[in-house]
Amino acid sequence: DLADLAPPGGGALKRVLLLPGVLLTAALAVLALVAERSLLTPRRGLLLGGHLLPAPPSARAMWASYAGAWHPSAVGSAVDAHPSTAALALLSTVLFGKPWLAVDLLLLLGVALAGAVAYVATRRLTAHRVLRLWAAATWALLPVATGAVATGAVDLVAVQIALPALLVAAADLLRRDLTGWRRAWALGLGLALAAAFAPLLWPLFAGLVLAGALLRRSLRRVGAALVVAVVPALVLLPWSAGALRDPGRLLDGPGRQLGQAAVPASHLVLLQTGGPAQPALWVTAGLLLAGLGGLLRKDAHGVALAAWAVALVGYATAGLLQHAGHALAVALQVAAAGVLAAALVGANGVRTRLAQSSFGWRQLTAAVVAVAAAVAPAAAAGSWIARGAQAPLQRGSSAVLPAFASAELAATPGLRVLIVRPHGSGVDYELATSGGDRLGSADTPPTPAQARALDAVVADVLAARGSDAAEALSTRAVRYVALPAVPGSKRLADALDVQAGLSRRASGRTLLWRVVAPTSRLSVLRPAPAAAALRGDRGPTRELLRVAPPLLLPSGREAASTTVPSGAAGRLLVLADAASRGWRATLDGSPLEKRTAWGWAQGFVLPRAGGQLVISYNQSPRHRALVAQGLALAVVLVLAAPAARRRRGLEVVDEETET
Amino acid sequence: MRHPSLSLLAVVALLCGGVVASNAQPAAPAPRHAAATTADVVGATAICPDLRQDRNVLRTRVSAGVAVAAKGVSGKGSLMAQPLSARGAPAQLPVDRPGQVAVDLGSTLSGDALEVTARGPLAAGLELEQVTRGEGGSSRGLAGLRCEAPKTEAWFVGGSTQVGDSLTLVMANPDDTPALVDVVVWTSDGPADPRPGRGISIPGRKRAAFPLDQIAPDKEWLAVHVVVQRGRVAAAVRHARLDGHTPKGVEWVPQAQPPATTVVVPGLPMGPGRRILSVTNPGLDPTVVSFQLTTPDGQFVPSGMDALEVPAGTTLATELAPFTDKSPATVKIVSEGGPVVAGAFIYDLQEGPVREIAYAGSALPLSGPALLTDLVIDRPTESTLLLTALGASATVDVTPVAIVGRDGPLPAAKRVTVPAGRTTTLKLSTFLPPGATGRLAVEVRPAPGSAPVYAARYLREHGTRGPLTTMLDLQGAAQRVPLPAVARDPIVAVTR
Repeated sequence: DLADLAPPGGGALKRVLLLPGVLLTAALAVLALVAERSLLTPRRGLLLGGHLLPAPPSARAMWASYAGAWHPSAVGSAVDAHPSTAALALLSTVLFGKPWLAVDLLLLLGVALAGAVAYVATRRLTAHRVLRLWAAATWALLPVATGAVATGAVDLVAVQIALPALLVAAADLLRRDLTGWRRAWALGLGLALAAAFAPLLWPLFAGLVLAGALLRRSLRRVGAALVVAVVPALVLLPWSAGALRDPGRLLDGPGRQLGQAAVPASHLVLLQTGGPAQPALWVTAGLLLAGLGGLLRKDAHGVALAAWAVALVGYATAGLLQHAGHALAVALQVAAAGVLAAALVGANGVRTRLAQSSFGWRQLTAAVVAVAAAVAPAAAAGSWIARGAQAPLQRGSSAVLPAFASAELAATPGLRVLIVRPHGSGVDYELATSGGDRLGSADTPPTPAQARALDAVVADVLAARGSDAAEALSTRAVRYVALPAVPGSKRLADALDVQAGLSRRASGRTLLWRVVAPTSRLSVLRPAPAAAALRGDRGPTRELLRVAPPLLLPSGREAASTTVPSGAAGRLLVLADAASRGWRATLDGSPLEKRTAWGWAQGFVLPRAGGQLVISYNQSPRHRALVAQGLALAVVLVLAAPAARRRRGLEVVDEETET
Repeated sequence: MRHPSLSLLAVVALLCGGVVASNAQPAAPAPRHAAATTADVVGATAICPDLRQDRNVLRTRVSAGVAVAAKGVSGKGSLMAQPLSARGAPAQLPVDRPGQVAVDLGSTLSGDALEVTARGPLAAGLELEQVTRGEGGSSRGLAGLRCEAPKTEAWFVGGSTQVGDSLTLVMANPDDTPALVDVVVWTSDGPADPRPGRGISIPGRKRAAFPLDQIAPDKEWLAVHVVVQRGRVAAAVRHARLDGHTPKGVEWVPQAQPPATTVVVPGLPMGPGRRILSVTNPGLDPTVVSFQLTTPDGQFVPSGMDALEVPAGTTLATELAPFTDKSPATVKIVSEGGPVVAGAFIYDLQEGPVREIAYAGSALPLSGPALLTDLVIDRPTESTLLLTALGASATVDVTPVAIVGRDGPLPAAKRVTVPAGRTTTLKLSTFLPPGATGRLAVEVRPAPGSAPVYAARYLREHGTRGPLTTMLDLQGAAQRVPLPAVARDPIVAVTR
């Protein structure tokens, strides 16, 4: 892409560095680094906050979490990992295996990358370099872009980088007569990569391309558009199959869900997404006016109309998403791209056109709009620098647990801690293991039924109603309940203090309670508690615990291999993970009958005799699906790959003759 | 649409139309948290921390009951009692539905605590009460206590550690693991040395008696703050006075409300003798307090009591006897500075050398039905219910409750109207025909829509050597508690 930044004939390093595109990229990079100055020191910890959870320690861990069929978030989940995990893992692998570097690069320098790509892409619309610089800077500093950085929305940053290239490629695909199908495959691949971060882009973009192809009334183009639409489904297997079954998963991006802020429609039209790091409303007004002005150009009217069609589809989608309570930023990015393209069409050659007619209201209006539009990137940059880095994005996680508790959790795989924190009138909580939550774990939630059961237990443990919630927590392998001492935590602390099944262990920055009932990821219940577990009780009663305490067994984070002593008939082996089809247990090689314990957990019926116990989660369906994904990716790569060869030869000639 | 101006108009019209349509139906963002609700209490524990029996000289009665819930709760509950030191299975109490009271429990226990656990429908409204009646020595008198749930913090206002006074903090740990407790004491001279009270350990399922003169020797007007660092305890403070061999009274110091800028001490009984209001300022800055008395005749601020200074960390003791000779009173203490704790000491005037004491604790208005589980109605004993409405007028229903094992029809309920700003008394012997004797248990419930009302019970028995007295403030056990709205959010695991 660097070659594209330079006009033809670039040679020496100095010349390259002084090229407008390179200068723009550098300027945007400096601007972003200055604006986000308070987040620059990686030694202070990992970036997190907003949508973003801390990056895993290594690319290998990230790949493992993508490839795994079982995810340990909360009570465990068999949901397919989000494709953004794979995309980020890929980027991390390229970046020396450091996921934090990938996240830092995207969030801190994504603006510069978006500007660079936009600068290259605008070459298709105008040859005027100043206009291209303006358009690229405006695109890179749109409210949605700065908002994406402040909310840690890696997906939106990726779309901001990829969308100009995708739109220009799509326009090429529709405008030109195809020399082959590979452009369609390549565009599909690009769309798949962007949609891996922001799945909503897939239906939105594919729909736009398909509509464009239908309007061209060319069967060949419709075929190409279908290729574009189908490739992401293939490349993003097996996640895409699940998303097609449950299209709601396409609507929201990856990461922690923040809930869409209520944005008035007039703000939406001005490309504001709501949330943090939005510049003043007037900043984008000039851009909108310039975009509308693009419609007045007679000679390139078709392009302007097409751009506005894209913008209106984006606006309409954003409005509908907002109405349904979903994140609308991706749709607004599409709208912004349309408006910006229309503005560029209008601005291209506006001086010569205006010079043809005598001075009058046209020139005055054009001048006002031009000034308003021209200040947009400058104003956005200025306000960003003035604001600096904004919450919720921050650097450095802070230890919630006291050292002894985190050491105990780290030493005993599978033990969990319930962390609660007051939030407004409600309470936020997480059921975490020793590593805490990492990037991607928000995308593998427990099933709704499991989540409801967990919600009920957590609400009960925070209410002084004498319920069995603490024992229900003990069945979920929760050793500690932690509450950071923040304003509003006193009420919760009082309720936790009177829970008979909890006992206060630490006060100070974090209040800590230990669950009195024995907790372990893997335990053997004697016949009486086993009967209660099979009945679907929430947890053992305190009396049962006293007369028939469970036998605690060691286990790993996911699999377990240990020896079970012999005992009475009617014993139940309970794994403190959500019951799922994939769990397997064998005792001396013979499989154990599966049951659901405590209404949610994976249980196995134990015979009288003991033996060597092996528990594992069946990974083969997931691995088969990943092989399918790999094959699909390979096929698409092959179909899209000749581009590299042709670009050097035939294709370049082709482009030159056309432009 | 071919003409540029037309297309511009069309796009502008579409944008405006979209804005108007969107504003006409504004989207309501879905809240992350559902609305908070309330839920029934389904489990409750209360502990009577100090049961003593000594043949004919000393007798402790424990009575347990369950108030009727506001709305019908179905299902089967259980009420079980277990001595703290016992290891076996708990004994089932004969109460099987709300609105029943079991009396004369724990009569075989001495030097032990009794834990009562209620589950299911019997948990909402569990009340447990103990009364110790002593005939001689330092135990001579009546000492009554509402047995509380084990918790992590308790305040007591009252008591002294001077010569002849024995002030004992009794703590029972119901859990299997040891409890670790800090005891902080304030006196009329200021805060006591905190070191001796730090890190008191109570082994699992044991109780411990801690003489408070170890923390604050030879002091009067104490305020005691029990802070549990680990575990939970049921705490109580017992004050016994002896002058040589002459009994000077015994009483449990009731648990006080935690520090607040407005504190209400309800139900100072009418009669000759001393009524000393004790206000402790546990803060680091001095404060100025004012007292307002609510009597059957009205509300007033006694002269000179509209601005009394309480230096930081000290206790102010004020004699209120001139106002309680002829009428009962409820005292409202308002602190202009930091929060304070308060209680009242009741000292009966009588012939002869023997004396008896009682304590009135600070209280909240009745939150729901409260039970008086142990009322002995006979000629020498009179139980009086004192009701106070500080603001608007309040209505209270006092309903006799069945005592398990005692058949026969229950007396009719009474409705008491407490005028605004007045204290009203109800002699509980009026539930029985004049001259009749018997055991009674009553439920005291604010009528639906009633204004807040404070309630206390004063028990006075004419003994051979003078009266025996004890006081109990009524609180109303929690029946429904707020249930927070919770939402899972992974970020709480990585940031504070």
